[in-house]
Amino acid sequence: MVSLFKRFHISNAEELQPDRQALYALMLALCLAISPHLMRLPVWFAALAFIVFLWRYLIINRKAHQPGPVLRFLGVITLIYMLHKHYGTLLGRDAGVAMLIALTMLKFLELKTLRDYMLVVFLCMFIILTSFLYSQALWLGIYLFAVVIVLFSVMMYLNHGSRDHLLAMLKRSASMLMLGLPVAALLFVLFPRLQGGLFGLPGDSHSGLTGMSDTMKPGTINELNLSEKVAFRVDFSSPVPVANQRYWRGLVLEEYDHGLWKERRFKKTAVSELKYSLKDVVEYTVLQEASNKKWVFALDMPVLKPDNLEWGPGRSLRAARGLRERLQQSLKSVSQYYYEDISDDTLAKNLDVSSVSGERVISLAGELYRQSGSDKNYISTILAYYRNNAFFYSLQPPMLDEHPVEDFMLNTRKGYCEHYASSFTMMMRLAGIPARVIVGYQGGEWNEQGDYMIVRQSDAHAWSEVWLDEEGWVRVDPTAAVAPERIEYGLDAIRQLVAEGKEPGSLSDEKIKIMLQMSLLANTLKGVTMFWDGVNTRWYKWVIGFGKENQSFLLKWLGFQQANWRDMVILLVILMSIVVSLQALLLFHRRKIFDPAIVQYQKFCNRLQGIGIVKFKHEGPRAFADRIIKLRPDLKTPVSLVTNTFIELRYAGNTGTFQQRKLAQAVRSFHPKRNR
Amino acid sequence: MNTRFNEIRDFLNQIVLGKEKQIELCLCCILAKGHLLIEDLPGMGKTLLAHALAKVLGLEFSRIQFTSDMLPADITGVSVFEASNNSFHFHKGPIFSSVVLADEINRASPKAQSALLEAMEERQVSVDGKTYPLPFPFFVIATQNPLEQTGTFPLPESQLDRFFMRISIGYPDREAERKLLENEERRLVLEKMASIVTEKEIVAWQQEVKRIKTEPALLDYVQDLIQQSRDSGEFGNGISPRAGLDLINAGRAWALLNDRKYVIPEDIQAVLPSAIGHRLTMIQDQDGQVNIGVNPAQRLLEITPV
Repeated sequence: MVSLFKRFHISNAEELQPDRQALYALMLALCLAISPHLMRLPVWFAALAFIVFLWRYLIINRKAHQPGPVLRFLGVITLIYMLHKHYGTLLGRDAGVAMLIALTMLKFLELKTLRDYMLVVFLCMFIILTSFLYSQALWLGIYLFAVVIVLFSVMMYLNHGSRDHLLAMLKRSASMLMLGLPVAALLFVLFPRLQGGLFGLPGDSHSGLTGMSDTMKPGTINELNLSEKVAFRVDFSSPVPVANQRYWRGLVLEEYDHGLWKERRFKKTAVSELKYSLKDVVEYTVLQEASNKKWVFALDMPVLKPDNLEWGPGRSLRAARGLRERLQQSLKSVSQYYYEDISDDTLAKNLDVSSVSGERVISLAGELYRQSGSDKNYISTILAYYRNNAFFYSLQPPMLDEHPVEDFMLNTRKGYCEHYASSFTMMMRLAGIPARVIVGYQGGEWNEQGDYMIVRQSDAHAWSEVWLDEEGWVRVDPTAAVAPERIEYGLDAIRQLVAEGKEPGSLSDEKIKIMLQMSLLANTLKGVTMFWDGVNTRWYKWVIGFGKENQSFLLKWLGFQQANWRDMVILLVILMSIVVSLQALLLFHRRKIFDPAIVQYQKFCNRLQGIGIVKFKHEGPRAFADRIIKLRPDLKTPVSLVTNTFIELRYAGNTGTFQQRKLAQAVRSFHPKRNR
Repeated sequence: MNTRFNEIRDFLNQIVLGKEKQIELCLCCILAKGHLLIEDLPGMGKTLLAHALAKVLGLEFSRIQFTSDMLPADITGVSVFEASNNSFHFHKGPIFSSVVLADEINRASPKAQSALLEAMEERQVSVDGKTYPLPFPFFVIATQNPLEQTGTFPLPESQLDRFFMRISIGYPDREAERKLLENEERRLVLEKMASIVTEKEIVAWQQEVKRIKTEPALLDYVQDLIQQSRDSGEFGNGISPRAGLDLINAGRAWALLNDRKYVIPEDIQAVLPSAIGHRLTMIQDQDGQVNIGVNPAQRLLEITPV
């Protein structure tokens, strides 16, 4: 291997030793490449970086020795030990990236020849790529693109020893990268791809995702209710449902075990049939954030299950595996529906009150049902009971004792959606009406900038479904009875009410609207946030989320009905040759027309025109200069300087940046005055 | 290098008085390996200039006086039967010389003219099925009288195109004329002088000319000129590709004479009237008349922006 390297190696690269500037540039580039990882690396990396850079500094400025092979070996062993101690492994994403970064830093201690420097540049490129294992956000992409430009400049400096101005070098490498973009875009769009996202991530990359829990136990404070994180975004192709219809069905909790609600164990075949009219169908696409959970949230009530999803209990939808990446899914739902049938099994489950305790609440339910006379009236009675007995919506409810339903209904009477959904459902069951709890999201904020809806974790909600013999499952939201603001205006309205010391449900609609009116500044801020969210969403939808489906859709649109691998490669080759030839043409053309020297010289001529000396079209620059000097001997020095520099640039092929700047400077300082 | 050129210039200026520009063009012609046509009235110093050039360059020189009864063999040479060894032997004609002065070329019949011109083009002579190479360097200076004079066979355009440059000498100015009258005859001065350039040097300069840079911007300008001559509708025939090539080479040689490593538009403009002038005519108007008041080369330069 070594001999192979040597044979193919350009001989002088071995001896070439880049200068100090190259080293500093490389250090800077490495720092830039590492910076997205900074917060994730162990703290002692700072010490490592300090030692490495200090040592290197001493090598350059104090003639210190580079570490010998024994020391280097010991260093690597120590490093591996430290990494293993910190991560518990050397495999996987986190430890792997840390190892790559640490070894790249150590490489600085043995930098010597051009080849070593180039190696570090390539390692930096690789480090840049690893950042995408953590995040694929747009800003990160832009930042890392900039870092690649810096790395290109470093490479240019190393290869040519170019003494160009820093900005000029950055500009040149940027334009080189830009030239590559069309080809990259073509490859991105047309390269045959496998199912799945852009990055196949290693197993340890999904820690720390938030999502909805699969159980519910009122009386424990729910953190989800407070997070502003986006849960999912929705693109509607049908009219958008009104605020109080935006119920996003997630899980259906039918089992009650001493205050803990959970899903029933489910047989896949048992999905009850639904009757609905086609005109009620709402079509939309959900872009759901990674949550590590299987739940897929659909507008109540989903119909026509997509092939890649499964039915869960109670017509909830779920993916085959936890969502480790964003899911983009087209769905259909209906607002008006009718369940035809309920199985005995389900009926029994939804009537189960075996673990409800508390004599008082059981007798209360019996009492109220007797007063109501019918199931429907009983529902109204219970909702009225909430309204009329000083129940309050609160985000900091008191804890409940061992009889949670009774404690809530008769004592604390303070809580949020979970308390109401849970207590309401139990009250139904106690009266012999089948009922269950639905967990999901309610509400959603419309983004004007992108024409889609944002549903946040703070929109998380729980409500009830009740089985009525004539109507099937019917959605009842007891929270609406206590705090209609929560349903109409979202959690923010509740928070604001509380902040102003008012009770939810105590204000009229108009007053709430006035209260919710935002200041101009807040409005602008909101607009900016929404705009950024819109840009990011498109980025995920069209770039990160561009998978096999989008590709075949695009190809169909281009007229390839059954595009196979070979067609795509041929198409790719044809398009790439077209793009590259166009670029080549453009480059040659531009060389002819956009000679910056011409622009400067034109300025020079314009200034002379200002004092009445006009260049003939057919006059060469030297002849023109001679004529000017004859007319105005006092201008000899500046005119000769401009003319000579221009001629050097244009006709002597001496087109360095130095010359360009010299010309620009000479022209800038040329201000001829009219002779009196 | 410039000092060497100055020596040559000084030398020639002593012989041909007050004709710096023409002398510069002659040097340019030599450096670019082109053949020169001098057109002027009798007695203007055409032959003297040619002599001086041959002398300063230290090259072998021969002169052919063209007459109306001349035959090609008078130029190229002839095979003669030698009784001693019973075979034909080729006697080289005057053209086998490094500098050939073809005096009054338009007095000869087209047949004789074409013999010279073919030798100029191919730099070799074929007689009796045998090919003889001409010496290197090979440089023809032809002179001709203006066509209005009697007893001339005008060179057709195709033959004119083979000359790299055409210059005319013109009357000397008053000062130069005075010197001419006062001093010793120039021809005698010339004979006393020693040549100052070696053959090797000339070849080296000719190589140097090939290395003079022509940047895209300059080539653009030359192409614009060529395009203008063909498409503007003002000229009879546009510049031929060979003429375009000659123009560039002349510009290169001119740049070298000015001690520059690259060509600028002014170089092209300086050589264009001589390099293109004899190949470019103004278009005839409806009556078949040519506007002789206009110099086509100057006109071409004026309508082409740099």
